Amino acid sequence: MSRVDADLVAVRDLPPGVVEPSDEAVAAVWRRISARPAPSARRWPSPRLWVPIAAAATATATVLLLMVSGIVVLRPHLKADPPPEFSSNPAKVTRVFADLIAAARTATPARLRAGQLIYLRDASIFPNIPDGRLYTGVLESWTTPDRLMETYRQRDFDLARPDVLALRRSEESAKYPRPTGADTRPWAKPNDLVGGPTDPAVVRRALLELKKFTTNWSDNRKVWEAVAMLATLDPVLSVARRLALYRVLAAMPVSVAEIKVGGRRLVAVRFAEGDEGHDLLFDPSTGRFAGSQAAYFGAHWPGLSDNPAFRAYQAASIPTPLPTSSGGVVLGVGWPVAGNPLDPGVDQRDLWSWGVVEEVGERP
Amino acid sequence: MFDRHARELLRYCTRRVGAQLAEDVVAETFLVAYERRDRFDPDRGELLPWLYGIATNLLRRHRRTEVRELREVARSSVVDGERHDESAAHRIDAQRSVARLSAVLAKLPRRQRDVLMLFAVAELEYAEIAAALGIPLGSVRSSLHRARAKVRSVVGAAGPGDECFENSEEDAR
Repeated sequence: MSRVDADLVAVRDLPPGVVEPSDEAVAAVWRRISARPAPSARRWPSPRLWVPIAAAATATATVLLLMVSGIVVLRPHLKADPPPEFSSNPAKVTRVFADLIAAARTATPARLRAGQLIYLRDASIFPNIPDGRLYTGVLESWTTPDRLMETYRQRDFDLARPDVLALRRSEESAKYPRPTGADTRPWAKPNDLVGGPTDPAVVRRALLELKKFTTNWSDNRKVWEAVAMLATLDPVLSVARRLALYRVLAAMPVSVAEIKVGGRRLVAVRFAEGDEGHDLLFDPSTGRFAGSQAAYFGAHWPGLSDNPAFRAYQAASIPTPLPTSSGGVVLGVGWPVAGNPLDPGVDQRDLWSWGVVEEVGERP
Repeated sequence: MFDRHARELLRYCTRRVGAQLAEDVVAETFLVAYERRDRFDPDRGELLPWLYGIATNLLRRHRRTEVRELREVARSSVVDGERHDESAAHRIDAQRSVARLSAVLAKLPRRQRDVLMLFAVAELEYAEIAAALGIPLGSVRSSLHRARAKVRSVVGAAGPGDECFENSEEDAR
């Protein structure tokens, strides 16, 4: 048997007319990777992956820094609100969680009928590695509650591409066939949301089990990420389960602060390890999860908050070097954010909202 | 990792679901690979087959698209030979062959198509395919044997390809 057998060659050449992937196509893939508002667990890949990117970004950063250095120096500080002050004082942490637990006692879970889906809207502000700028975009997903399977997801900025929009429209007309393949949340099961243990020590062990494959994380990081994963399915969390998760978090080495997002008051709980901070955001009025943030406190790459290009962009509006559509969206990336609405050190923020819907494509 | 493997993955995915969707799938492949990097065991194989395995799993979400495009290729490649002179006979034969092959691929069970595409397009070895798909080596051999038998039955075979357009229940799943 040979790879040049006629049948294999025929398969390899199908469909006719397909050309080799162009450099532009490969670059488009990279832009999509960079643009994805990834969960904090995979926010910063290993140095081996980033070495070539860091080199390119450093060169870009140098150019951008030269372009705007004068403005950086002269521009006044525009932030009106003082930055939030995180406190790790045990008494304050205890009080904040006591308030959240009190509010969450009435956070009853949504009861889904068979076939209904959990809709998640993730409004994200995120950094784009190649140009060191902040972008915004909305990620929507529809998840089945029975297998926690994300049946469909889309990013609004992708729809600026006519070809993607046409594909989405065709999928809409086909009523979004629900896939039956692998689960996108392979480690969580419905019982992790609505049942399971409530004793904090037992809950912690169960959370560790959910993240047992990520062997390079500390146990605290595993617990944190497991909670963050379950938090994206907030509407179906049972009260007992939610309170148990909060008690586990309260026992961890965290700090707390009140932040404001567009005039909305939120509670931020931060777990920091090394140079990275991982925040979960809560709505103090309901006690429910509201989003997440990622922060970086290091002096060097990969923290965009300390990247020269990123700092320069905080003080100046720079024409993006990436291809844009007429609507202002940077294709495959997102919409450039004017200024820097994030708090110091924070380089990504995701705000979540949910609903219960009947079909993929439907919004509450 | 991206520089080394992105183009190959893109080539493979483009052949299966078209250029536009392929970009999405390959981007997702690298994100999943990063998220699950702790599960990659270099002692069990190379990185590229592992990436192909992730990509193939992600492609399953787009199975309907893949089958739909194969059928479209089959339909668009069918020509009426009587309307052409003899100088076009060779081209007509080629188009019919493409039509028949596309129809056969559209009807292949999922595993057989995955194995065949990983062997023919990605050019992985049996053991690499087994590792990529997480299936026994024997299953790779048998799936590839069955898939190739079906492909050989139409590649170079005489006669119109129209009979290949019947739908199968399996395709719809």
